[in-house]
Amino acid sequence: MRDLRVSFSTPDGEARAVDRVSFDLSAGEMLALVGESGSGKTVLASALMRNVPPPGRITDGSIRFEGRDLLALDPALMRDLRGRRIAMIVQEPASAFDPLQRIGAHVAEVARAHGERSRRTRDTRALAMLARVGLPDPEQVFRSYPHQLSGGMQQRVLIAMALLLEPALLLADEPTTALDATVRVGILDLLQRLQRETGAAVLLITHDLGVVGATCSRALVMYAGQVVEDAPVARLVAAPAHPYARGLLASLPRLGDGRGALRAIPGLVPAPTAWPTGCRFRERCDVAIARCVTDVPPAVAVAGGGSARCHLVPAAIS
Amino acid sequence: MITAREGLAKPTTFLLDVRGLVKEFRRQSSTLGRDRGMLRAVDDVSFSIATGETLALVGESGSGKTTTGRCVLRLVEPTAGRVAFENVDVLGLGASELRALRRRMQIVFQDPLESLSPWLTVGALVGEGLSVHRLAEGDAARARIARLLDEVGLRPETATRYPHELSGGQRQRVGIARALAVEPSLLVCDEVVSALDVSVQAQVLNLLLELQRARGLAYLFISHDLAVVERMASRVAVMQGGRIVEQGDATRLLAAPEHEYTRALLASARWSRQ
Repeated sequence: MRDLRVSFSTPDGEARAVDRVSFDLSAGEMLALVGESGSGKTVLASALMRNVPPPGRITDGSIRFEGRDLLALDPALMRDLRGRRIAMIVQEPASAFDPLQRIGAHVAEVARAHGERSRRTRDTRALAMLARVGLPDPEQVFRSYPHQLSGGMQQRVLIAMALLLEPALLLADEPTTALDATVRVGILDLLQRLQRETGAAVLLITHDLGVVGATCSRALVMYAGQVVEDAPVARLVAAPAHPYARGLLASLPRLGDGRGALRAIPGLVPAPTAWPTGCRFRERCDVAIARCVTDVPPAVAVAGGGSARCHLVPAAIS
Repeated sequence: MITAREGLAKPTTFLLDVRGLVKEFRRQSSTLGRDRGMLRAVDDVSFSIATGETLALVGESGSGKTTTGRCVLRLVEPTAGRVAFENVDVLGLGASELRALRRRMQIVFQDPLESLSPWLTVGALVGEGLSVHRLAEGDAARARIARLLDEVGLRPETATRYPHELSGGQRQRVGIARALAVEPSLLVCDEVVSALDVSVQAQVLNLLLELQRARGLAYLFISHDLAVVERMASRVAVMQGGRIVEQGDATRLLAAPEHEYTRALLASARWSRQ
């Protein structure tokens, strides 16, 4: 992805939800996209599927995927690519199912929609995939209706559907946010295992830095429509370079730290129709200087790997 | 069975004392509405909270923690048990006495937007309790609403806005201001930060700690997140399948859990907080 921009026309003006975002993702890599509400991470994912909800539109930039320019692709080819080469799993598994269709029909439909003619082949593949995602009694699950499964099992079925056609890229949008902690661990383990087995690239979209630390090797931190830090996870957690990433880590409660207040980031995320000039985080930043008001910070290389968009990066990592 | 300890009508130092709380729901088959017996959502739950203290009720979905919180306020009628609040037998109260009691015991919900009427301004929402309980009116009410908004970190002009115009964190602050308006001594906080972003969650947790210090509030803090609970609570009760499986001092319980389920919860929390 190079210099991608996504804008929404609103009564308050142009909202630049994603503003000049660039990154690379290699085959077999598990990359985290970290951000809070309003950071643009979900819009970015929809742009990757060329599925930006109206009135949003991609206004600039390019997305190359397996050597092809996604933004120039014929709509029919793009439809085929979606699901076959790029698949997505969503946060609320329950909302992704038709309550009147059995699980088996949901999974087999993925194969049918992408050209598998034989019903028997479709059912066999669906059943094999249900077994592969660690569902205890796949035949029973195949015959079940969505409401008969727990949230964790539904999420496993969604993963089975997403990986059925062996996509090269899997977008996982907050796949464990709606699940209990004990179930979450199993789902993330499964994602990691399947990612290793299939060699698919995974973009894990999350607001939870804890999940990132446990699963990904590299992370992009988004704030106000921009990637403010792109870093190896180990370095990000040990020595975050951007003041926002630092604040986010300090805001996260960790077991063993005891009782009492957290170091919170003051203020609110600005409105996307009125991003501040210069650095977009400066109004909430505890180390901002005059230059942060006037100059947009470029992405600067950080010792220990990765880059950050901050004028004070050398000082920040001293 | 009533034990000697439970039978004694002695005054306690506890603000809230819950003994043998039970809530049963009739279980129905989803398709035919056939009676499939009773489900014990809350099963013989006992705990107490002292003035100014935080007890955390921890558990996963379906553990009965939310139902327990609602039974304490009688938003859900318990099937059996005893709830003593400020030495008043809550379950024996009539409707008007219960209304009076709700002045002292308030609840803040997970989703502020769902619990706030969309057609009332923030000022009206925060001031509602003041008029219901005839605590203030006119200029006096307006002044109190302004003070409350300031106390929860909202600008005075927020009073004229509507809930949908606010962010999640701001709405949760409105929920807290609304609960505080009637000067309660106990706040039931039901997953109050679980729908919020990490940075906003930190702000709201800090606000709750600050309000507790300033007002001597007690919290029944219901949460699924052990790391959050560690920040907030001096004591923790762990619920599973409607029962409290372990309770005790927060530091002890989180460092050296005795029950297998507590250990499992801690292990999954650690796994994603390394």
